[in-house]
Amino acid sequence: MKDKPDIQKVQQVVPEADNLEEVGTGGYKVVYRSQVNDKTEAVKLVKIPGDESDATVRDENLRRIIREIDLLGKCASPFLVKLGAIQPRPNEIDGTEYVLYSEEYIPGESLREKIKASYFPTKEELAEMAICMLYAVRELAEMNIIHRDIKPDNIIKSNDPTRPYVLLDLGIAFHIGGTLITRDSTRIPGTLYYIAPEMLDQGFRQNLDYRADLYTIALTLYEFASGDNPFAHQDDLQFTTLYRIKTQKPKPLGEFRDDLPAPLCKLVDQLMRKIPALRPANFERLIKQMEGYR
Amino acid sequence: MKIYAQIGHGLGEKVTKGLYDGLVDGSIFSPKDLQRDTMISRISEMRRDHPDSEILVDPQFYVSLFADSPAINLGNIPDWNCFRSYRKGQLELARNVDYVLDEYFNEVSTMEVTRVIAPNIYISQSFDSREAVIAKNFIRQARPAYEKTRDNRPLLASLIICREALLDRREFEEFINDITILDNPPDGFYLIIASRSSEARSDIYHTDVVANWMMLNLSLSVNGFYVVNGYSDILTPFLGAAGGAAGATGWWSNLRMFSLDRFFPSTAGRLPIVRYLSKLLLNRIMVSEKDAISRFIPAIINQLPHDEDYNPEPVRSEEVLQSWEALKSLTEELVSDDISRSIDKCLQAVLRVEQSYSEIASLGIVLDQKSSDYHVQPLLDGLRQFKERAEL
Repeated sequence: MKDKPDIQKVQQVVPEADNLEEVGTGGYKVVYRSQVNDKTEAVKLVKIPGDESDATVRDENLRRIIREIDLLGKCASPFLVKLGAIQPRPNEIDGTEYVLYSEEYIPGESLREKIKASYFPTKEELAEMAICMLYAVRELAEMNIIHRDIKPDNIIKSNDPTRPYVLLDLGIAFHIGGTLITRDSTRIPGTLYYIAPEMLDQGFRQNLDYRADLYTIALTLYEFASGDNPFAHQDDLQFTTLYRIKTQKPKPLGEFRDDLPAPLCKLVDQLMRKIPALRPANFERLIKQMEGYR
Repeated sequence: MKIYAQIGHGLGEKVTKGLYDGLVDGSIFSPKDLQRDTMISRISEMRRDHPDSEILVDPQFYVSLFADSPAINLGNIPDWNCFRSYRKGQLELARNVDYVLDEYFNEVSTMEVTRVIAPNIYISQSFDSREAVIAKNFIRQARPAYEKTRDNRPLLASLIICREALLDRREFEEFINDITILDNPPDGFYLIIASRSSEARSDIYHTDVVANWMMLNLSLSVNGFYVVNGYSDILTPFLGAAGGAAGATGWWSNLRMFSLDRFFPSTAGRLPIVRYLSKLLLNRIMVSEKDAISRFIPAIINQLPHDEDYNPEPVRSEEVLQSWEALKSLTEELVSDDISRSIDKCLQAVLRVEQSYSEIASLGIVLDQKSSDYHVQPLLDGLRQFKERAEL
């Protein structure tokens, strides 16, 4: 986050959280690890996007953020991160408005860290990760929420065998971005390399559905399995990356991992098709197929 | 992939023979062409004599929006209680859609069909139309209405689309995005792509039409739907390669290619001449042409049992047996579980067609217009476009 506040000032507005330690930052938020009621939690500080010429934008965004955090509180899936002890509340630091709340802290390693360590998962691990994410996205879809920011950074391989993979950062990035896009149609929500192709279509918000999340689950599986994101080329301009996402067919996963079952690789490839209708979208069938590899 | 007999006027014993010889796997009945009681008894006979065959009834409700046209020939469709003339405005009301579905499901529940095809209207122009909205409502409401009957046979929603609608790629993709993600979906779809006339081959043998008909099959099958293609004729193996479960064809030209002119008086004078479906040419040619070409290119003969019927020429009513046999053989050759391999085989088959027509031309043999190579380029381009868009 640009112009993030001094940690001491954050500590002053959240006295119930001890020992704040910054562990991550994104476009609109900073995440701190902290002790809340003797439990380790992730305290999140989310900037409320505003518009100096239109005060209603700030109010609308604040309502959306609070509403989405409330929805997250209603999610029962163990594969979705849970809300923590600090209920969402608006705060002002150095004249900038934020929403502050906490989530449970999931000990473990993100898939990004595993990929960076050149870890190559087995078919059982891939299937397990897919199943956890499918259950998580199914619950979100039932609540009409699309995560839109599923990526290796947002999935934790936890130490808890009852919830081996947990999805973080639910909906917040999506809805903040989503609000902005109604005002600024040039902004595309989500993380550049993990944008579903249909999100690049004009008027995509009317037609977007949970298949965008199925795409990013598959892309994450692909990257986790192969170590390669087919659309991430370091020196590419943003436009080139977007063009790749929209038009380039990724190399079949089986070409990276001939040790994995061919039908598993083909299923991952199929879920990454550009046209949402070409992605198998029945959760029960997908979970059953993945169960076959676990 | 299965081949079904598209049943129309003049049923006779063809389908029974086709089933007995294993040339077809089932049949699709048309209310227009058989009295309701006759259809019920023919269906019962088939169930008794061929218990493993599929039996479907196409509700033909799609003519309801045209039922008041002065020249329309509805045949026996009005025998069905659910059938009546409707205007689009009436079918925009959910209660009327429910009424049609309820009535039809009650009526078909007494028939020994193996799958139930739900009624729908005809999308006559575009996916961005009132008709398309109504058609999607029929699809969405089919399962809830069907559940009331407690019938546990598989339910197919029907989709009857004018080929013009397939020419706008953006609208088409939005439409398939909608119908592949339904809350309470049917078990499958019965697809009909309509041309402007059953003689207008270029309507169907068109790059975008071929590619999008295949895309429909792929998107629905990838999502677990059982896809039956009505009136698919020679395109059947291509649709099977794209994921279709079955295709159908019949003995008249209006049972091979769908057009609403099937419901209007024919202007044709005489019966069409008997033709031979050559697997190599993916086309029907005249018997005299077959005899002339085969002297130089023997491979245009299929080498299948019903070739014997063409020595010298089969009776008109048996021509369709050879068509079914050739299509069955083609699907067995071209369609496999691996879609990429199937599409590559289809492409190779069309390239062989292209080469064969070049050889025929070099021999100086002049073909009748219907026997010509009008279908080759659209098939080739359609397959290539499909392959690219399906990311195969």
